[in-house]
Amino acid sequence: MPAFFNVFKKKVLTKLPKDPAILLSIIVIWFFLLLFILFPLSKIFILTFEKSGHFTFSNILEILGKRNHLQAFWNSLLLATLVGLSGTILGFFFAFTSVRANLSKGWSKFLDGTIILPLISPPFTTAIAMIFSFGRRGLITYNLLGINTFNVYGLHSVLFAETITFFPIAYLTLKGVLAGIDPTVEDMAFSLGSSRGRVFRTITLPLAIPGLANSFLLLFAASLADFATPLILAGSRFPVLPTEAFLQITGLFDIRGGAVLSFILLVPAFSVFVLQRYWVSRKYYVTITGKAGAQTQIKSVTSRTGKIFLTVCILVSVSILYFYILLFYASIVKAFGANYQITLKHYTVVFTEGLKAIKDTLFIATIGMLLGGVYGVVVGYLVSKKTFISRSAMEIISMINYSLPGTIVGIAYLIAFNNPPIMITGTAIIIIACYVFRYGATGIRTTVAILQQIDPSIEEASFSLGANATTTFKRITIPLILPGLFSGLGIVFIRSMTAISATIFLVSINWTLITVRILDKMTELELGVAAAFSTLVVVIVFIVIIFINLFLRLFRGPGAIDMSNILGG
Amino acid sequence: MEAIGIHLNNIHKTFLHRVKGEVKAVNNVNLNIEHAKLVTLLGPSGCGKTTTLRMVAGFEQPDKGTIFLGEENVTNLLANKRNIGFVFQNYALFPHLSIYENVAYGLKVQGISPQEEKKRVNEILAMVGLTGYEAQFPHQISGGEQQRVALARAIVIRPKVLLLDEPLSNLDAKLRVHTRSEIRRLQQSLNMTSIYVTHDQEEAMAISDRIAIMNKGKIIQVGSAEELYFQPNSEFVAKFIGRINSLPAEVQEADDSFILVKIFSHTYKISTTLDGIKPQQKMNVFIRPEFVQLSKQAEENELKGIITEKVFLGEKVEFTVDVYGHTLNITSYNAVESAKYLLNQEVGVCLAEKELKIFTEKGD
Amino acid sequence: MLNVKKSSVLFLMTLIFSLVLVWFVGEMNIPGQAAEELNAYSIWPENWARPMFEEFEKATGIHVNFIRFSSGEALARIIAEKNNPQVDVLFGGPVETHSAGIKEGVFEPYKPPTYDVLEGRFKDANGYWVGIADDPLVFMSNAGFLKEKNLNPPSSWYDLLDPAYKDMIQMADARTSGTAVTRIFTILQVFDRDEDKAFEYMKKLRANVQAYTKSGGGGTIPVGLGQAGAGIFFIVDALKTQQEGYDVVVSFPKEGIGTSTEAIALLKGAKNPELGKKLIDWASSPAMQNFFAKYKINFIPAHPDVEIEPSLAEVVKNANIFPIDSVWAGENRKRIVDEWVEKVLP
Repeated sequence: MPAFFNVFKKKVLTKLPKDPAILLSIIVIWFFLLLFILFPLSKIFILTFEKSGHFTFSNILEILGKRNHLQAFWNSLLLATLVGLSGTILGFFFAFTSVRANLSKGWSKFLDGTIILPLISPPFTTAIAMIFSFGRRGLITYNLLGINTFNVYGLHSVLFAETITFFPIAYLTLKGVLAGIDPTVEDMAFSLGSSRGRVFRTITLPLAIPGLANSFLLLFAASLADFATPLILAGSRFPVLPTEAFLQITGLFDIRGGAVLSFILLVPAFSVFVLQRYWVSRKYYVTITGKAGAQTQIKSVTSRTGKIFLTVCILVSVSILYFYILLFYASIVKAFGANYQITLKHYTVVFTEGLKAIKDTLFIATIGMLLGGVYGVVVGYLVSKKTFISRSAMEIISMINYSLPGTIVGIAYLIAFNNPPIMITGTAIIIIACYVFRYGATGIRTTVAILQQIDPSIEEASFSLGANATTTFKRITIPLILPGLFSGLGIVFIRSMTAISATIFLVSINWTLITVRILDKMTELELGVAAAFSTLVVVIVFIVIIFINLFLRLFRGPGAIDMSNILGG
Repeated sequence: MEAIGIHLNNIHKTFLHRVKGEVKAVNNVNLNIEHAKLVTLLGPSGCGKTTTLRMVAGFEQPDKGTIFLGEENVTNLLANKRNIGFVFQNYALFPHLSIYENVAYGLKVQGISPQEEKKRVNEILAMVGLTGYEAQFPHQISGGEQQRVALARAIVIRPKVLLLDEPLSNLDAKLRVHTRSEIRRLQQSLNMTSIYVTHDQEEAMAISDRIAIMNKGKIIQVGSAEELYFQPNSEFVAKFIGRINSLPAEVQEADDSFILVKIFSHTYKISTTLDGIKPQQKMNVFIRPEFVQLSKQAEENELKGIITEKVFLGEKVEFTVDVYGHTLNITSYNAVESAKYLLNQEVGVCLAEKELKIFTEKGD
Repeated sequence: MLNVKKSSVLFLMTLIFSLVLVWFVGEMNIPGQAAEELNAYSIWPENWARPMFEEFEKATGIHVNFIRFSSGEALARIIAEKNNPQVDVLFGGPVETHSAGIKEGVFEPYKPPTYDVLEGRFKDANGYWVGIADDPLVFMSNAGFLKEKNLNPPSSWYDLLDPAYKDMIQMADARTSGTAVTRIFTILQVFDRDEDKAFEYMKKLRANVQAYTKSGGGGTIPVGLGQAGAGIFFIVDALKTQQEGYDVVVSFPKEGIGTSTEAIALLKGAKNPELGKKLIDWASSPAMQNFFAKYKINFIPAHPDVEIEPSLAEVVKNANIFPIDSVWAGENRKRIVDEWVEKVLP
């Protein structure tokens, strides 16, 4: 026993923080991580592999034995791959145009502004607009082109809608990557006699490959997790896993089946998570930078090509804008497709029947944002500034709920918290917990990133000026963290406003959410009301973004909200 | 390799700056570089030297003026058609390519045969002392080695001219001295007409056939290191190359070939052919520290001063002397003589009359 | 580097974080409802359920909190929440849903005063549910579509197999919609419960189906707009579409079409059972069913004393409508739906 104790002491006790406050914080955080991340996830595993007390694969085999489900699995992979490819290509095209085609400030802002829209929109937005545009009586297919045989349901539509919805993630990722490529490297290749095309092929593209791979994985994961778009647009011939899991539970009252399906979904999702974390993130080329900012004038494209690229980008942006204008228009006419009389009746519905959902959503999003912010800062601080025995485990586990498709998280919570000892289904707490431990991860990431940026010499400089540790923490560290914290908070809020895939399982008679109401209204065919709700969400989110950016400007912090942290709901 | 000259005629370039608005980065630059010569553009940061170089390379387009490489007007030619070797300050190595592939890049573009490519790359790598590094990647080698790869990559294509943009500024002091003589050796043995940009006057003096001093977008003076040091055409050049003292003076008499000026209590005669100098005019007179001498006792024709600082630097001693409230720097290369002078000592200060200079051009 | 003050700020934040969480747990779990409030899941769409509950509140002073779900979703939730029921009453929805629920043991039997007056098919033998309305299925077609294709309104199940309808029929998905379940049992009944023949018919029909919608009425607007040509819906949904001004035609198959009882049931373990019973009393009586006409809800009332609204009576006058045996449907529901998902859906 003493020998064991000595090992224990050496391996564990000495690595525990001496400071009791830190130790307590670590214990408390671990308690919550176990309760709200590992416990629910373990329930999915148990339901998947257990049958009358025994370990078994028969549940999985049974589910996969159904043609529909097996099809859904392959469909999900196919869709995610295609969205990953098309979104990355489109995103790269936009990023290349924006970084290399010598855009004027105005156009640059226009592109950035429009591209943000899909990121901050509630789910279904693109799907609704697609139906309005390309349905049998769609504005484009029928009224414009006179086609009435076009089938809006299927892979092509989901692919199109998800590409439009998710390519901004690729754009933001790749813009950073392209802007990070030292322009002198391209200049150098030119001066060695390369043509523009050759420079692109041999220098720009190879240097962007890690970024492209990363963007592909991000989009793959986003599409794999997307529940809203396929639910509306896939049609019954193209089932995908998240919607199948949803229907399995809500339609067939088969919670075990839903759990098994979400477990199957977990396999590719987790592979992507691992690939991204351990492979792509290490593949970035170290660019050796010297004096930056030599304004280079000879861009990678001729001004004519640049104009063509810009025109294409503008066309895509305009079609995104068109979707939103259409959405707004649908919210102010009596019945889109049949009666185009202007009316406010949908908004009346939103602000009477829908008022509870609005209040609930704002309340939950606000509380979730505050708690998520505190959680993000605490965990971010612990994992980046402290060394303790379970540090990297804490870092990875805190990212799990964020990285997994919402459907899995939602189902896991539904199973885990519906029975004693913790019975919180039907309360706001379950939705808030879901947001905090899912989107709070973005707060962790921002905090870690900021703390890494803060040069220790800044804190040392403050000490050397005679400030003590408390003053330093208050005057230097906190103000430096704050801007990042606020942008992290903003993201938690926005995602709380627009999420559905997890929370669809968690809403209740007491607490409901705008996004769920949008889905209800869509299934009840109150498309006008659905459009009005969606418009409202876009407006609220816009106000919040403007507010946060103003606030950040007051702090003179580093830039605006980092939109690349936003993924689809 | 046939070397050619470089000719810049009336080059203008204006940039739009975020804060300052329109900035004339390069303002009417004329420069002729004979074949096989190395000319350095020297000046403070922001003087337009790098912009000028980038225009020669074709990375920037001049607003006005023409650039000739030999007989050919290349003003509107793209960078990839100029056959120029360029070495960037940060080397701009291709991070995803090996050292071999970096160097071979330009040859591949030219489409030469693989055997020839291999031969030339190996040759050039041997020349810069990097044989055996072929399979390494840029991030795996040291800064000095990266610099040599950049150089090898630029000259392996046998460019008509070689352009170097502060190629040594990322190296430590010792390596810098070594590498610059290596560059000079390569440039001379390969007979490459070259433009070299730096803000380091010592480097410029060590490596160049001629130096063009630039300030605020203009070339102030072009000449050999000696010419610039001993016959600066302006206050700016005089101050930028070496150190120089400035003393207040009043013109007493002005003739065609000389003027008489009064500096404090004494009158000096300065040979000059400059026009427009009139009696009673106040002006500054300049003299380099090594042309001022100290004496124990002030003679009749000498100024008086007090030594306020004395720094012993081995082969030379630097004094700071207060002369009627003005600070004068004096350098003495005579250690024995210097030992005689102590801090706070009253001394005589003798200005070598023929080394006194006056400028009508400020140069900035 | 870290001193006590700095770490206590951190700990304080952790503490605040946990306290707020704990406070919420406490807050949420306290049943803070007033005495006169009850909770319900409604399968009826919000714009029909809301006026009914408002009238109920006017009549009794009891407020109903409700949320709308498709029948499948509602039942799934009730089963999932069996140990911790969130609501007192399941309001509306085709009776197959309620029958399936009896098997799961989620309902509490209750026989309201009107129980004895109701026709046999409008009540469960053990009182697990009672009917509040009758809702036959209909064929609904877009008038423009029929004209364009030169078709008569479909008057037989076989009419829908006409290639002219290819990719132009919308109907509900049996995984979520009670309408779909009623439709499937109707087809089984039409084929005299011969499952092979019935499924063969449904597979043939599949070729003409453009989309299966999540809710029963999901296809009505597309048919109204002409995005789809025809569909099979409950009469309430079809007539609502017509009332909203869409040019649609309602027709019935000569082989007959099923009708489903809209039912209400009390949940086992309901937190407000007495209030729930009051709602059931009211809903199963003319008190509520007399409001159908006022709010243009085109259900056929279940209570014999309530008169059918004349125009509605006109629509169903000559139709061949048969009830579906709810016990049979409830017992076979899961098997049949699974089979439908497996054989027909893909």
